[in-house]
Amino acid sequence: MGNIVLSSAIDFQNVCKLFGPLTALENISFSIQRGEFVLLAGPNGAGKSTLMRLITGLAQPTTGVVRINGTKPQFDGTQDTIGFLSHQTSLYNDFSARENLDFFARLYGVTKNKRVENIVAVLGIESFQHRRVRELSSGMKQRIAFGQAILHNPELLLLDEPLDGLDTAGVNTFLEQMEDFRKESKTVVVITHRFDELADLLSYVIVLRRGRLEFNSSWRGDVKQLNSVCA
Amino acid sequence: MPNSLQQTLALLSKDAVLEWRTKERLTPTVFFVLLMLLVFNFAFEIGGAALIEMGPGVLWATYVFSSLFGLNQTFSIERENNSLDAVLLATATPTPLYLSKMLGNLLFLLIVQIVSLIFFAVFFNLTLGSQLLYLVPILLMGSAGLSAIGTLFAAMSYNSRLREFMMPLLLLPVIVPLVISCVEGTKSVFEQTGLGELNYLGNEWWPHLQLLSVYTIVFTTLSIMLFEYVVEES
Repeated sequence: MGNIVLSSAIDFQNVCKLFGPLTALENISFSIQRGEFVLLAGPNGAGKSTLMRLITGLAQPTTGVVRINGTKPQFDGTQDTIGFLSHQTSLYNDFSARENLDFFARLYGVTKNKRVENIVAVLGIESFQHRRVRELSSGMKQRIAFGQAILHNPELLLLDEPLDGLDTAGVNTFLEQMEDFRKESKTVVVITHRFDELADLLSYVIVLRRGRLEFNSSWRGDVKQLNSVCA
Repeated sequence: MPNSLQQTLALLSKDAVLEWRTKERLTPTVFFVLLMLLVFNFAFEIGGAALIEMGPGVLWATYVFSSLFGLNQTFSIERENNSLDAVLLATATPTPLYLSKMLGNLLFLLIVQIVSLIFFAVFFNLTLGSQLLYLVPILLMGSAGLSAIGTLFAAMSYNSRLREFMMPLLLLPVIVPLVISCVEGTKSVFEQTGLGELNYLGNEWWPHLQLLSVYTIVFTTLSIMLFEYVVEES
């Protein structure tokens, strides 16, 4: 049993998170194996983004234990295996798209220019790579932010509303990348309200409601079933 | 994974480039310095002995209050799209972020210092010759101490709606010993102005510099240790 817990990509044990008098998460326990493609669903204010921040180590649980690949996610170097796209883009408005990617590449130690060029080409950023982020549409920003999240080829990818603002071509490119991640047996956790577009990729579903775990199971169902579970 | 020094330099150069492009911290601060010294110039007749008595206080009051503008904006570019999370994840440890912001603030404060001193010299007919050599360590250590503690408090007020009020309320009481040492150290230098040669200021000047150095080392160390806890939930 102990070995199983240690080999989990994400392991929550009786996790509670309080913000003053507000209970954001209450007694959350689940375990996700490596290579799972996870949908984290629930209504607004259910605690999805808080749960994701606990996985990154940017926030710590009030009680309970969070383990990523068997260790507590803290500022100890474990985070460089995590890619995180938050619901804000995390980009610098007065840098160009390319400058943003180059900057984060330097922070991650991705020295090979080839990686940044590859991301620019694959995500369709080429045509606006030298324009300042401030001048770009939300869909363009979302592509760059996604590029920034996968820049260092993370083992665990956390995506908070990745489809926001994307046009059809953008969604298709994103889905192709997700397919590649799944083939490489990397763990992906996605928060989205447009889950019908990801239904074919999903292997695990977690539904939160008012900070509590309402549904937590492997998934092989179709979109219709997914809608009823997440409703 | 690059080392902390490489990450610190990457973050520092990013801040420098963005400030160069926008000038959103430097321009208003320089105007504020100019306005404050103009007001002091009309309010007080500072010359002769009064320059030595009141001048250092006027100079450091101008410097500290104008610095609050810039220190308050330390994390403003991270706040725009919440890039703080992405930076913390990429660096894996918060120390490079603190060091880059602290060094960036130090550079910013030194520029404000130089501008303040030039305007002060023009408005109050101050002639600094070789005595300037003694003033440089005071300015440098004063800026370093202010930057060390100012960066930590800027992070503490990152998500506060009242950050414009919080920063002075937190910072000003803590920097009282630093400002007193800076004023007294500057006064000992001003007492030598007009003498035409560099006199040894050891007895009056050295204890203030020692206190400034201890203050800066202690608060830089404390800030590095506390920064992780400050940014964790911000």
